[in-house]
Amino acid sequence: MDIERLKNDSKLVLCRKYYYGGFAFLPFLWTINAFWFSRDAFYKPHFEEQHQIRQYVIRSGIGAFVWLVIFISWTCVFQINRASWGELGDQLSFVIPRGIP
Amino acid sequence: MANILNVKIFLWLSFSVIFLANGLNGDRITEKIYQRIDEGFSCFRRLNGTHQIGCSSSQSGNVGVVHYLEKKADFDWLLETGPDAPYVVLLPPDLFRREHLMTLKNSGKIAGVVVLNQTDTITLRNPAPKPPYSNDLTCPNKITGLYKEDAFSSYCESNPWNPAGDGLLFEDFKFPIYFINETKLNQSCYHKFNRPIEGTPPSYPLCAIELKAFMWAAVDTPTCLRRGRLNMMFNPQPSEYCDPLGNVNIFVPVLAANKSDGPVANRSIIFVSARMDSASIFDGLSVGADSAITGMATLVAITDMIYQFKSNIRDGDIQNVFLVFFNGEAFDYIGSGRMAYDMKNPSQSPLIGLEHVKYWIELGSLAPQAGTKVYLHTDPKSRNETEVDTKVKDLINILLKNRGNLTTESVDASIPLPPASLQSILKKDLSIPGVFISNHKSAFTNQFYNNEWDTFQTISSYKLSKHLAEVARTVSASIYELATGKQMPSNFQVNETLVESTLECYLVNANCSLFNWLLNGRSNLAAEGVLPTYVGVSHGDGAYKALSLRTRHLLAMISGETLDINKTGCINSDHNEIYHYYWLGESESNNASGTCYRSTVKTSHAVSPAFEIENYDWASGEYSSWTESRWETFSVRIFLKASSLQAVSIFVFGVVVLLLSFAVTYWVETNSVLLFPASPEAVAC
Repeated sequence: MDIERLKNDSKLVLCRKYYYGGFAFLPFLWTINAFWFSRDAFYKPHFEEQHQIRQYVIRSGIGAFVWLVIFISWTCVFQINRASWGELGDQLSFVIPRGIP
Repeated sequence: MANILNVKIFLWLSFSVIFLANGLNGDRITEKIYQRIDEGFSCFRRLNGTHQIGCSSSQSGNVGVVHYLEKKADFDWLLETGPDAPYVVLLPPDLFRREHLMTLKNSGKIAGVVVLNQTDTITLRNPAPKPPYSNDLTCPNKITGLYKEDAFSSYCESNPWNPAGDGLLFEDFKFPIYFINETKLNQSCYHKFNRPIEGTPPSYPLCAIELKAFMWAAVDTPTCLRRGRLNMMFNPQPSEYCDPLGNVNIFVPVLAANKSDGPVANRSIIFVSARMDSASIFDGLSVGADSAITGMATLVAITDMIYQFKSNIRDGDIQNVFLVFFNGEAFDYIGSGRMAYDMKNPSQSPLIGLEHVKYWIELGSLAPQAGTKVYLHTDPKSRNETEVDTKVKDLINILLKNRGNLTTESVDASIPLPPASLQSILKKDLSIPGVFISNHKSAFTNQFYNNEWDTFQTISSYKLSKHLAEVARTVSASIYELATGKQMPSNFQVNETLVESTLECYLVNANCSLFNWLLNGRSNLAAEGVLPTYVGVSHGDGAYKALSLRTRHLLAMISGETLDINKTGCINSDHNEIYHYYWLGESESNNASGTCYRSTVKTSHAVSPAFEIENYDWASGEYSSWTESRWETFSVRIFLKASSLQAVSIFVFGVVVLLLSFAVTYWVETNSVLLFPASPEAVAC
């Protein structure tokens, strides 16, 4: 969707929807929000709604980064320890690998 | 215009002629690269309550450069110099020993091992490795035996029953091991391409081999069972990771139980048992000639003799005689453990319980390898009780009294039982007087216990069937005297030809005339050779597996009474708890030529109770906990391998050509106006 042709207040509404939507455990919405509206928030000449859009973009960015850290650490912990966790490891796995502990 | 057309037609015709003259060969490229080897037996993974044993390859197969090790010195070359790791090592059977395998395993340079069984070109036989050789433990079935934390548990440490056992069967390898029966590998693969000349490594291209034997299960039995269960929930193609080992036990109650006889009296039944399974590292390669079949063939002869005097069994206070063939004994007593469990907890039909057993006679290895003496072993734990001790002494005396031409010796009472199914029975009830009859006093005389080389070739001798017949006569005469109190009349004879045909069918050729007769000429076995006696896994109805089916029919023929009904009547007869009906002996040409036998032969499920008890403690060693991993197809193929340097350089060249083609295309695109002058048609457009 090309937001170039939207009016500024529609942009604000869209940004706000994505920001609130991300709280429903949807970090991808925050990631997209941050990238999509970053140009409008920081690199365009000043317009009325820019301050609020900038706020949303910054907060979405922070939220997405926190989720990224959580995902990466959990993946590392799980991959390293799944074999030694025995039954718990198998119960947490969607596809249990064949032939290896 | 016509000129150009003529030229085109001429060119087309000439090219067609050239192609057809060459004979187009529609081979797939894979066939030109790889050569399959189908005559291989693979090592596979088994698991028990706490460990995994056996071998597995990676999912796409293990690839290695072929190297043949003929003598010990070759090992040093491979481990120190060999630059083309990983290798797949070819070993003659004599070098397939624990110390060599451990050296190879620990070197990290090995991707697989192939045991190459080459036929000697002069004698045209496959020479067995130097005896004795066994891959089982020195104290087989120690974990589920009768002697665990008592005075007798250390007996086996100082006097091992299987001193030649190196325990390879229970070792865990991370690479595949194959047993291959042919010489192509050595001649056309190794000798042609891979032989180091005077110690210098051979140059590429080298002959390489891919061994594929990917096992699904890992860690141990409770893990793979749990994974199979969890798998069922989310996976679109759920499957188990492993299956419990199991088959059927076959037992024959000599006298049919009649409801009108009333309940069975305590201590009134004599049991005679033997084992019918064996094991080896390789799948499909276990015969167990002396480990199992000698005892089994003797029990078949005993069955035949007992039926000759079955009307006399009830003369005394003995009510019945049960003849049992146990399966799965090589893996921690699966069959006998299950039967003892069923007899102790009769939850299903009111079968015979352990309290009804008066005597138990078990037949072990009986081949006359180190002389024809036969030994009678007893269990010292049960003989601690004077009552049991007296009965055991009675049993031994009667056996010794009836020995006839056999030389027998009763082993000292303080020596514990060797590995025997009797141990599982005594575990549940120590008041059963039992005797184990075998051909060894201390260490096994079987040179290849539970091994792929325990075949007819290594036990055959002119006196084998005669000796087994003698043992059968002794035991039958003793049973006669135990039942009636009198000497067995000499008109009851052992059927020695029956012993010979049994040995022939189980040890030499499974397409024998006896099996053919038993299966009405429809014994359609694909391969030449012998049916493996490995217990296998328990899915499907075990009673119909190849070996169990033939054994059941053999016993039905020996023990059954012939009835005068036709084929449809026989097959449609009601199989009830007491009798089963078998239609045998039909010849292919004549549909009406068979006979109907009504016999009491039955099968019982021989799967370890560990898989059916709730919350069983897998580390306890009370019952067998063996499972076998599932796998996809095995495959072995050889091909010529280029050096990695060559492969990488070809790849890099390809990438360079790709990038160059981008550059050239871009340049041609931008300069297309200069390169391609406008044609008249385009200008007109």
